[in-house]
Amino acid sequence: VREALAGLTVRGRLFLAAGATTIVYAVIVGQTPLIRVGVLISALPVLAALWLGRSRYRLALTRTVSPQLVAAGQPSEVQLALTNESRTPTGVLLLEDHLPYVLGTRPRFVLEGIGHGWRRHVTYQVRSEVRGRFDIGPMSVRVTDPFGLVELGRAFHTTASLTVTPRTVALPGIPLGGAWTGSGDNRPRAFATGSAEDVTVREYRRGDDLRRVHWRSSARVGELMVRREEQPWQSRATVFLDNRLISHRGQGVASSLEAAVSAAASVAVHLSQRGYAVRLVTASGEDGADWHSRSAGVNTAPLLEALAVVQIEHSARLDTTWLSDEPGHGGLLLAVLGAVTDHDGPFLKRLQHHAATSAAIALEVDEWAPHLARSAGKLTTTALAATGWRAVTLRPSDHLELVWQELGRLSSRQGVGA
Amino acid sequence: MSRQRASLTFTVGLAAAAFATTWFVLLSWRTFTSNAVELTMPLLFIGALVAGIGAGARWLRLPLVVVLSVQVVVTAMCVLGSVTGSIAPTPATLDEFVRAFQDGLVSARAYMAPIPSNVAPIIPILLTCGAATFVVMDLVAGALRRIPLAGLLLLVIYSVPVAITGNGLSWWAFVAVSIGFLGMLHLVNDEQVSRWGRGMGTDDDADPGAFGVRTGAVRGSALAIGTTATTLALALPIIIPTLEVTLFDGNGPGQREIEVINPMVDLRRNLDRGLDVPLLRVTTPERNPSYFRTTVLTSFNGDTWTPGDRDIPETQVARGKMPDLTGVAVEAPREEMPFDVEVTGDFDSTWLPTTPQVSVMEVEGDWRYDTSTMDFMTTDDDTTTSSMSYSFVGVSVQPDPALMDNAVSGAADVRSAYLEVSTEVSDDIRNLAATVTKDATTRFRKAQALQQWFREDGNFEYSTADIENADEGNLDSFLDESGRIGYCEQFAASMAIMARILGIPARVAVGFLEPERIGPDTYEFSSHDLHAWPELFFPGAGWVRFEPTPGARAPGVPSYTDVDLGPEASAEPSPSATQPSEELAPRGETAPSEDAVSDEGSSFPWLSIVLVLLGVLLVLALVLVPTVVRRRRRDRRLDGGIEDLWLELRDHAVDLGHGWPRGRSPRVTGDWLSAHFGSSSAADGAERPRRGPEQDPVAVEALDRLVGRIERARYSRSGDAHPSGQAADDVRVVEAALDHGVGPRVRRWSRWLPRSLRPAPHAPATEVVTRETADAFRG
Repeated sequence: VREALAGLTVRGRLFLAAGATTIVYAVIVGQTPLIRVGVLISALPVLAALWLGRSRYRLALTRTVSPQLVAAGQPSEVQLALTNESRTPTGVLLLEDHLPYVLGTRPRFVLEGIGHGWRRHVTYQVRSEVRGRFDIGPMSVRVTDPFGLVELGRAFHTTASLTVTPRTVALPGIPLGGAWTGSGDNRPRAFATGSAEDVTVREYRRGDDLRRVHWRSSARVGELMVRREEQPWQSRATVFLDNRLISHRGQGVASSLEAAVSAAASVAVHLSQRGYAVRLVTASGEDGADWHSRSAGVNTAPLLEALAVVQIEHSARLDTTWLSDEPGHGGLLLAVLGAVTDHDGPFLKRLQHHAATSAAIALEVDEWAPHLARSAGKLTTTALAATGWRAVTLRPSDHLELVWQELGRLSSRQGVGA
Repeated sequence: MSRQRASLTFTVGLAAAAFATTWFVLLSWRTFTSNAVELTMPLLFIGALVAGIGAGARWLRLPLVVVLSVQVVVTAMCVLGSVTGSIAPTPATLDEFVRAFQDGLVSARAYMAPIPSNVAPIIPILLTCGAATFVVMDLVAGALRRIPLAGLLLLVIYSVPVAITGNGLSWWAFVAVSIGFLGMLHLVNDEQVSRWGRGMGTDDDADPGAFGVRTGAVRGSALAIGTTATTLALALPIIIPTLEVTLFDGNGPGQREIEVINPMVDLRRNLDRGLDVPLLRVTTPERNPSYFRTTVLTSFNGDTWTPGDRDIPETQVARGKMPDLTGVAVEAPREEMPFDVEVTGDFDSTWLPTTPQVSVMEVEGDWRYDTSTMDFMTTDDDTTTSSMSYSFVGVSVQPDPALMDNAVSGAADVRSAYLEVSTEVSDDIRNLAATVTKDATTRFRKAQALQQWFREDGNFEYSTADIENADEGNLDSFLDESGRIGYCEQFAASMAIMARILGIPARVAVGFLEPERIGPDTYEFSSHDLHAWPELFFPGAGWVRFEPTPGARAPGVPSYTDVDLGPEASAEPSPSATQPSEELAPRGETAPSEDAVSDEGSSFPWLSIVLVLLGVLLVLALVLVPTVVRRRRRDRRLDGGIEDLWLELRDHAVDLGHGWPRGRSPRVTGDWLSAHFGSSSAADGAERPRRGPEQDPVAVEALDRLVGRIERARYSRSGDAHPSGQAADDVRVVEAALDHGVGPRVRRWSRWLPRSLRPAPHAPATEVVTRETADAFRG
């Protein structure tokens, strides 16, 4: 009840104050008929608070978001199941699900006079044009009385998250390097059994030879494990995304960064579909995930998820730690670059040496900010080409497929592994 | 479509509720006029029209300005029509309306509510105001939906008659108003809620109504809350002290008011009636009882003398000893005589005839006295003097003319109302008063001169022949050279007015002149004995009777009024005069002081103020007891051993509402306690500050030390030595950290109403709040 009294709205407090003033005035001046009025309007908020305060209720809410991962522009469905586990609540319940504004309007419901065991489902759609990870919820509950004098705020706590991935375009197949074979055709091949340390294990499947059981691992894991005497070779590809603030122009959805992210996502999806193990590297280094293994099939979700949350990097420094660990093991490197300055020269050189094959898509970032003065200096692509990169330019008006094809033509002309 | 329909219902319902509520509140204006139907029925019509126009126009979504102007025009035409009979605003009708309005203003100024029916009605004013109220209410409540603002407006309308006449609405009208107002409030709020809930996603397969549930149960709750509040409003004023509101006080205005019947009308009727009907039978040892007073008329409104406004609380019941005589010096010679009065069935009055001064009164029934006039009246409509008997002890005072001659102005000793002269009194009368008394030097001599002038020098003639025409407003003609024929009322009224003009407080008394002796010690007053005379106030002598009516009617004058004071009196105010000045000095002092003592009204508040102060002190003491007890206990414990300190910690935690784990080791308890620590640097205002051991490391150290001490005290072989002052300091630190872990409100409660003083076992309060199950996701 104390909580309910604290929850008096401005109107409720006003009523209380006006009523008390009227009573005091009427008592002092002796105008008895006014006391009634005072009692009436001061009793109202108190009664309303008492009435709301004695209400005890338990509401259980289940929220399901499906799918949790959608591409920008695709709808996702939110399902709510609300159950009243207690008595009939006394007030009017105003429910509002909190959504980020990019996901659309917040759904609101009015509940009143629901009984015990009441259960309802409701479904609504959310859709976002912007990539990112969004929290859906929590659901806030406001309880009010019939006169709007008291309002209590309650809230559920949990939220569900929805990841909106960048838009991707399907890219045509072009000749690329990066694998030992130089073609996109990679298959698992057997490796000669060396020491026991090299052995990888997997769980026992029906039909496995009992002699292949790896007892030590079985003892550790608690179930039968067998040695794997074959190991897939991986075609590895690294997608480097330059997400530094100084490399990009424009704001929000219309910025060159978004175009870069979208291009990187398209490339990454394309490469993993072609059987590459793709890893994503940004200006701040590798994202936590390792090489996205080929055995996961063409599941590009983790890659896209990582790209969905890529933020602009404020420092001008480029992280190079990932380059140092295994030189020459880079496989195919595909860089999505913004504006390149002279300071980036050494880094780009290292990048080139790190990978077996490297190619770049350079964004003509000034085109994204036509109102700004053009940055001095030559075209990024020419600068890159001068240092031996295979590079193509992407402008806002360009289609990525066409640019990608051009890159393919470029590589066939220069020859693989130039 | 369904929403549109609902909106129509809402629009019409709101407009109708606003109209009905306003009309019921306007019913309280009935008390202003004696023919209320002429007011309420046109208002009902106008209100319905305004509401209809408003609702219809809002339904058609006409602009607000258009609606408002249509309403104003229609309302103005209706008011015009009901006042002048024609709704066309021609110059003639407009002129007539303006005249009626001004006449109404004049009557409103001249008469008390309710305005009598035989003067220019104030209906035009009330109609105009009422109609304007309807328009504004329709705008505020119907169009703008500001119901609290509308409520304020209603309160203003309601409080106007309350402030002027003290009459409110009857209980059923109040209930109706309350229903109307709460109904509006609920309607608008309900509409807002339903509009709020419409933000449902426009999805084809999701039913928008699947979640929103409106069963109408809230309407029942609104009814319950509203009914309870209204019942409280009807019932509670009875309990609220100093007020005499009764629960169901009749069916309309004017019932509760003390009916002040103008005794002049009685007097005129009785004098005129021809038949001399016996009215009073008085048994008294007094030789020649005369001048029995029934009523005192205190206020003159320019036309007539009226008893004025009387404010008579219940404490002034005429039983037993009466207050001391007003303005009479204690040394003044006085004589007390018992009187037994028997009233015949023919005398129907709400006023009791008594001698002007009474010391003891014995009467059955609810008779009250007015402290300033000392006349007796009933507050009960059914009670009259008819066939009743009562007794009293009358006091006759023999004023000292010399004293009165020297008296200072009495203006300071009486209410200013006794000196008010209506602005309508013509300059002729003022000049006349000055001319007649120009030779007299003191106030008393001026009064004497006036009386002399009325009785003899002014060539007045007493006659009751023209009583019927002796109506209001002819004071001028009565005092004019050509008039000067009249009866006692006119003489008394004129002299009182002229006395006031001269600066002497004056009033008119109405009563009986001289009885007829019908037996030993028994006298009879009859209807022809009715009389009126002026009473003038002189400090030290009190209210003194004069007799301006010529000898044909009243043969004798009070002895003190025709004393020849001698010419040298004009020099008397000089201090050299021995006798009078000696008397004057103390009188001048004592009269006001006695006045203060004898004034019942001023002695009462002292008692109640003292009582109120005592009550406040008592409440204050009650409020302070818990915190004082707790503080003393705390001080004692802080000086005690380690177990006492531990107990103090426990009580402090309990005070803050944390409870205290039972059956745990000191270490576990300490861990539990440290989870409630708050940071001292955190903002003080937060209701729920962050809590945890990390918030205050210093306090955690202190607590650890305390825990160590108590463990040693309890479990080590030697036991702990008597704790040093540091342990008490540690307790203070820990308590401060605990204080920082709660909101300011909890802290206040713990200080003023510590929970540890409650005898009940302390358990941490658990409250059921909303719960949420783990959300299930599909990935």
